[in-house]
Formats: sequence, structure tokens, C-alpha cells
Amino acid sequence: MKIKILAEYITKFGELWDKSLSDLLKEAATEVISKADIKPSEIEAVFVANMGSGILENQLHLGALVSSFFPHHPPAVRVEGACASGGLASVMAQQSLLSGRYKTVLVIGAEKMTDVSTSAATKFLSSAADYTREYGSTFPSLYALLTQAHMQKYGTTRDMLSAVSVKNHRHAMKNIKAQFHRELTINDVNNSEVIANPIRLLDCSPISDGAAAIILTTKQTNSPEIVSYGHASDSLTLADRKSLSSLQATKDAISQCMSNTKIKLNDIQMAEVHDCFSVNEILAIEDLGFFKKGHGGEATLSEQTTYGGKIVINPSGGLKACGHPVGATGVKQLAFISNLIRQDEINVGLTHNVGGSGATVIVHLLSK
Amino acid sequence: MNTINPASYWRKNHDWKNLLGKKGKVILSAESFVMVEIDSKNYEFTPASVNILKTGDPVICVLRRLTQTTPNGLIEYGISVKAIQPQP
Amino acid sequence: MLKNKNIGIVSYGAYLPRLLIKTGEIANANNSVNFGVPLGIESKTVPDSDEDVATISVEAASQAIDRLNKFDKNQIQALFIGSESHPYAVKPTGTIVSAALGLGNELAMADLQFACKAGTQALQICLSYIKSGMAKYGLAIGADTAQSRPGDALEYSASAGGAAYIVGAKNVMVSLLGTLSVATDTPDFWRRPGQPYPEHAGRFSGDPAYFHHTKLATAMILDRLNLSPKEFNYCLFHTPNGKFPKAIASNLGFSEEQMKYSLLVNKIGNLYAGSTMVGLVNILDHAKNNDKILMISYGSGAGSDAFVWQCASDFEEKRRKFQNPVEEQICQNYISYSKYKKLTTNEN
Repeated sequence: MKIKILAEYITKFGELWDKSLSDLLKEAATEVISKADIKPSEIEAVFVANMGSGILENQLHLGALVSSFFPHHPPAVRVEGACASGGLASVMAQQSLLSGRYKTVLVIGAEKMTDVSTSAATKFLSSAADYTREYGSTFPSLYALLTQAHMQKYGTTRDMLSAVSVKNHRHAMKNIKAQFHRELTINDVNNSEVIANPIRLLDCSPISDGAAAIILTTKQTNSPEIVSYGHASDSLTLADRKSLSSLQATKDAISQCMSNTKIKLNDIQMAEVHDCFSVNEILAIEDLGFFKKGHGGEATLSEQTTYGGKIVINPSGGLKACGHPVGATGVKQLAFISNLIRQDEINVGLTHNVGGSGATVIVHLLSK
Repeated sequence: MNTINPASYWRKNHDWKNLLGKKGKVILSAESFVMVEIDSKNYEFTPASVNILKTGDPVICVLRRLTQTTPNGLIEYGISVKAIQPQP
Repeated sequence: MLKNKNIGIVSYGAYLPRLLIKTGEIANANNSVNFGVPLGIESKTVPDSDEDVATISVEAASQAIDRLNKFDKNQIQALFIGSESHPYAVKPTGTIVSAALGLGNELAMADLQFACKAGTQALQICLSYIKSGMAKYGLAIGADTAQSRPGDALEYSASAGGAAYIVGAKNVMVSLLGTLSVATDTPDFWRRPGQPYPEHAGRFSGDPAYFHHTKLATAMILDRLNLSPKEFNYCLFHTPNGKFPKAIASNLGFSEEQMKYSLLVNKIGNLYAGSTMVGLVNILDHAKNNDKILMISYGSGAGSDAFVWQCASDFEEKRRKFQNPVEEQICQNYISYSKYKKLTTNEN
């Protein structure tokens, strides 16, 4: 049974004052149905990815909310896995298709983060950590520890970290849906405000609003295919990890993903990875196997991860420049790669979606 | 400002005595947040104010206020770490 | 009056916050004369943003407990803490301290307030629990994060810190020869509920208040124990500033040599309920076997606690492994007035 992406849609990402969470979900649902050129009633079930609507908007039961956009009220569920909510919703949707229960389902992710203050949003994001054992942490501080570990073990430099943001901002210049359309230099990133040493402001993905949607089907269609996926977990707290200079869950997820297919890692032309902070892109490209352990920083600085290099990482601009509305990100990654395949820009692509400080990782392999 | 709920405070205060006075070493420091090895196990803390801790610094667990509080809220105490003063 | 040679101090500890401010810095910020000079105070301790009486008490008590070898904390059955700046008006500081230290459940406990003598009153109460047999060991703490109105004279002296004493009838390192207290209604200093800063009566705090009660308590205890000033190795009078204790000591016939270790106030300011308690720690950090010590606290409102102590014949041996004496806790971390204001507004 092949799982195809019938259509995909991404809203604008950014500080969208005139759009509520419901508006974003409605836009994504309506537009993706329209692109798929199907009747709404063909959607048999809905999987909604979202992390924070309960905390930020006092609104749960999002499955029911999205279902009510459809005249036939399909069965629906909200899926939460912190920043990996989108990838997880896709996994749940695929399992419903593979079971044979459904043939065509909607996966939709959205987040509305900018109605609250920055400090409230930061506090909400920190709920993805272990509330009791990582008390007082923010996400920047946890990733600062991971950055420290990588720098200490492999000599990753400040310039290498900055090169991630510089590249992703350059890629975003071509993505009309991206939050930022502004090029950066290494010095811009190096000199930006310290958030949690050594993480600087321009190492961090922004707080964003946005939504994305894909329609998955097992019906025959000439559309991009989700060939395989991997889904792995690790301890919620950093203190319990076996290694702090690597995300084991990424390694496990890619291993699972690639074990189910004849496609090789070298066949992958572009990948959307989870650069919530610069170090996480470096960790990703090493742990996914694109570059040797400890060489991710150097590879980025020497432009191996952009057009003309070994592989293009984050053609959308990544979380850093395209934006990171948490629940939408995993779905947006799938939508972006799917669209590149549909437009014949690539044949094989990968997505990498991380929850928390690496406690949940979902990897998807897509091909023509 | 935060106000911890009483039940959550009470569950946490049972653990204070297990760490108070224990000594360890900083293995990673983001200045506002540190990872410390104590008795071969890793823990994460917000360091006590005044301290800028570096990797390798020996530390000791102490009791501190963990958050700013409202004038009428429960005060949240908890375990933090401070640098051990060099002994003569 | 409690007279008993068989009970006393089993261990002690103290804690001073690591931040200090110079009185000159306060004067510059207020555009005023430096009141620290006539008060005999060069600098004072400042609690950091995550410190309060509970955390200071835990630090001091931890030091006292850690200094003992194989001590069963469950035998502490009385915990009294004296302060003017308890974190709660209702909920004893001792509850937080006992949880952090892991004390047993059988515990007599209350918070005390009697201005700067609340700590020594806690000490006297613990000693009486030991004497009566109601507790095997007692833990008495005096600590404060004293508040003062910006621009007021008290701003030059009100500081932070505390000391803890474990008292008992076994393994005593400093015996209690006697203790008594005096109290009257003398309104030299007070604070109404809900008010952030205390009020004081200026010069009225001198003769009718501090000097009267200190002299009264001293005279009473020397008379009851039939002792004279020259029989003491050290004396300690409450230090609201560097001037009063010198004046009273001289008036009562004590020498500068006997006062030698009781004037930490010059560097650390007035720790209020922690003041005399920490003063005694400094004396004990320097005392020798069999030394006799007179300790007179004073609390505004007003009253005095008097104690006569004698170091045991093996006092120095018991103290030999004690580390981090209180004088060495005085750091050179001087802060600016703007940082001081940030740290000391919204206290408690």
C-alpha cells in the first residue's frame, strides 16, 4: 500500500495579528482541499497537530474544531508531541491509512503564539521539558547545554553555529511564505544578544503563527509518496541522556526509516531539519548520517549544506527563517518537500521533526 | 510572577533533604542553567545568584528561592547549586 | 534564670551573604553625609535575590550539622527561629528549614519576633527544652534580611545574615553557666503589619532603650552568678552599630581586648536577630579551652537576653575540624547602590 500526498498547503508564517488559530486552521484546510481538487466529504478523518492551544488560548478539543469546518463532520483527533506534533500527527494518520480503516485523511498543524507576551510564550515552550527535573530551564538554556557539549567535544566554533542561520535566512529569501526575508552575515549572528551562553538571539527560531496541511491518500494518484518514516523517543530530561553531543532519537529514527526502503541516504537531495536552535541543525545533519559526527559545523561553514553543496538543508529557510509555529512545523516540512517533488525540483527528500530537547524525533522519507 | 500550587510545592519539598549539602561538579554551563554530576548521576539546576559557574567547577547543593513570587503567593523554595569556596 | 553547667552548645554555624555594599556608596547615592562613619560601619551585607531568612537559616544550620560527626538529625526535637523578616507572617520559617534539613517529625517549633533579640530568645528557649528533658537536642537560629527606608539612617546599618546553634546535654563544647532575660514596654522601634519598613525613635533608642536594658541584664546575671567583668575572656553586646557596644562595654568595666572579636558590625552591619548570634560565632571561632564569655543581646521594644558561657576543657579539640569560620565568609563583592536598590525593594 503506498501513501501519497494528494495536496499540500502552507499559510504565511509570521506575526499574523489578523488571524486567529481558527482562521489559520480554516485557511489551511480550505486551501489544501481546493488544491487537491476533491470534495470535502472525501476527507474521512482529520489529524490536528498543535502543542499550545490549551495554554495559550484556553482552547482544547481542536479535533472537533477542525471537523466542524466540514459539512460531514469527519472523525478527528488532536495530536501533541511538543514541537514534533506535526510529524507525530502524520505518523498517526499514516497508521490509520495502513490499517485500511481510511483511504484519504487530512493532516493539519497550526499554532497561534503571538497573542501572548514573549515571556508567556517562552514559558509555554518550556513545558516541553521535564517540569520537575528541569525546573527553571527555558528551551534556550537546554539547547545552550547541548551547544556547549558539542563545542567541547568537537571544537565546533561560534562561526559554524552562525553559518546555520546565515544559510537559512538566504534560503528563505526565495520562500514567499517565510516569516523573515532578510539576509544575515556571520557577524550579525555572532554579535546578537546573548540569550543563554553561548546561544545568541539569531541562533534561535522565532515565535510564530502559521498553519500547514497535507492530504494523505492510499488511492492511486501521481503524487509524491511518503516512502517510509521513523519514530523514536529518548529521555525527556537531558540529564538522563547517554550522550549530550548527539540526539540518539534522531539516529534511531533515521535507522528505522531507511531500513524499510531501497532508497539510500545519498539519494536524498534536500532535507527539512529541525533547526529550533543553530546547534540542532548541526546535530541533525550528523545524526541523520549526512556528515560525519563532529563535522556538521565545518560542513555548514564550507557551504556543503546549500545549493551547490552535498545536500540542501532547509530549503524553506528552516525553523529559523521560515518560522516555527510549533504544531505546524512538522506538517510544513512535509508540505514543503512534497511541493518540491511535485514541481520536479527534486526526486527524494527527507523531513526531520524534533520534540523537546530531543525526546521525540520523527523522520519522513519522500520520493516521486 | 509565578504562584506554585500547594500540592505541587509539598510533593517537591520531600526531595530537598536528599540533595541539600551534596557536592558535585559542573559538567555543562549555560550560565543561567547548569548540568551537574552528583554521585555519578546528572542533574539540572538554575545556579544560585551571584555565581557564574564554569564547566569543572565544584559545587554544593543549597536551598534558595527559585522564582519571584506575588505578595500573597506561596514562596517556591528549591535546590540550587553554588560554587564551593576554596578551602585553605 | 536558668543555671546549669551540664547543657550547652554542641555545634554552631553561621552564614553571611556574599554581596556587600559600602556605606560610602549609600551616602553618594543619597547625596548625603556618610552616616556610616559616626556609626562605625564601613560596609554591610546584602542578601541576593534568591536569599531570605529561610535560605540563610538552612545555610547556617547545615554548617552546624555538618560540623558534627555522625549526628542523628532526628534527635533535634526543638527548632526555634528568631527574625524580624520571616518570609511569612503565618507559616513558620522553621517548617521550610526542617524540610530542607530532613529533620524528624517530632519537633517543637515556632517563629519568634523580638527585634534584634529574637535569635537569642530562640536560643534560650531551646536550652530550656533541653533542661526540661523535652528535647534531646535543640536547633536555635537567629537570622534576618533587615529592611530600612531609603535615605534613613538605618539604611547604613540594616544588613543580612544568621547563625545556628545545636544545643544539648551531651558532647557539649560550650557550657551554659546561666541565662536570664529582661523585658519592658519601651517603644524605641516598631513595625506595624503590612508596612515594609520599621519606624524608630531616633535618639530615644539610646539611653532609655539599648543602654538601660543591656546594663540591667548584665548587672542581673553578674550578680546571680557572682561574677565580675574581669573574670571573662570575652564579652559581646548587641551591635546595632560600631559605637553603642564600645560605649556600654567601657561603661560596665570591660576592656577593648575582651571586645576584640565582637565588632564584625564594622564590616557586615547590623544583622538584627542574627547580630548577637553571629557575634558569638566569631568569638567561638577564636576562643580557647575554658574561656568564659558574656553575651548580652538587645531587642527593641524592648528587652535583653543575657548568657554566660564557658568553653569546655576540650573545646579546641572539638572545634579543630571546623571549616569556613564566619570572618572568612566576609567577601569583597561590593555592589552599586542601583543593584542594592533592585535587590532590597519588594523584600518579604
